[in-house]
Amino acid sequence: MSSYVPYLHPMDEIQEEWVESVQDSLRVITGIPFIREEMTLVSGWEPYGSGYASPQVMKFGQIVVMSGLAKATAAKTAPTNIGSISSSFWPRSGVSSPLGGRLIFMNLYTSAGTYRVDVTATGGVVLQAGTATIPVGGWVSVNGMWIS
Amino acid sequence: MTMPPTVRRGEELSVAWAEELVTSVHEARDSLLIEQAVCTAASGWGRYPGFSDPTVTRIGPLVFLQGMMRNDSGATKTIPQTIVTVPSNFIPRPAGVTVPLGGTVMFANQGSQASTGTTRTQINTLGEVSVVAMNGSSGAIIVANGWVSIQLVWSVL
Repeated sequence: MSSYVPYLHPMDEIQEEWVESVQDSLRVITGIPFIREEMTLVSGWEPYGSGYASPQVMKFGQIVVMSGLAKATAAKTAPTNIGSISSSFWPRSGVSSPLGGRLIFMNLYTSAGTYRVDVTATGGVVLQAGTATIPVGGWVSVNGMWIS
Repeated sequence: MTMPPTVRRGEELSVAWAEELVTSVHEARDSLLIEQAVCTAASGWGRYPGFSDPTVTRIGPLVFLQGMMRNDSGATKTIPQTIVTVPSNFIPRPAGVTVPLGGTVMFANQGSQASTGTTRTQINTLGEVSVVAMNGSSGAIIVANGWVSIQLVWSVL
């Protein structure tokens, strides 16, 4: 919450400032938006389908959750781009977000084990590292969670 | 969602205004943390002593599942295995007209075979949380008293 609601002593008279601070706080809480967008996939990737959620990002307040399953329509070897997410979801770095920046997540891929998926500070989703080639029809999960 | 009532400086506060304010407070609470529940363990599975119960917490539309489960059956279990089921009001919705990005969600977790491995854990749109592979194998064995972590995040909208 961006504003602070001062406690009232039982003997206090209710002040206009207090009423306004309560209202401000409630506006902040009730106004927390939830947005959800599909990830834009680069050529050679598509949503896996078969009941699995499409690659996507969702944001509640400042909490961002990325999830979904992408299928390779061409053989893929790391490092290679998977897609991108729009600026509302970026793990920014800078004066307003001094702790933001590129992030690394452990994800799953078709045959066995894990793959490194990075999300860059400008919304790039990258299959960054892993030993196996993902074949045509193979998949990789794109999960991650951060504060934007 | 009802926005909190406004009041101008110098205006006398009424009972109706106070009631509106209370309603707004309740709605604000509902928009944040309103629900937390323990999932139902599948047959032969139980909480690993000393670790988290399989708990779902909804904050706004986001659901966080955390838990650590043990094979209490006394026998080996072969993957795939349903581990727990989440209560109906926490289940992700299937992809459709109103929820185009819905569907089953998969996460990497950890589990014990002969040694610790990476598990593929997913929740489907029936609310079943399953371990469907370990180290890429769908036929892997979880020994008696072996364990799996189940940590996933999804949306109910």
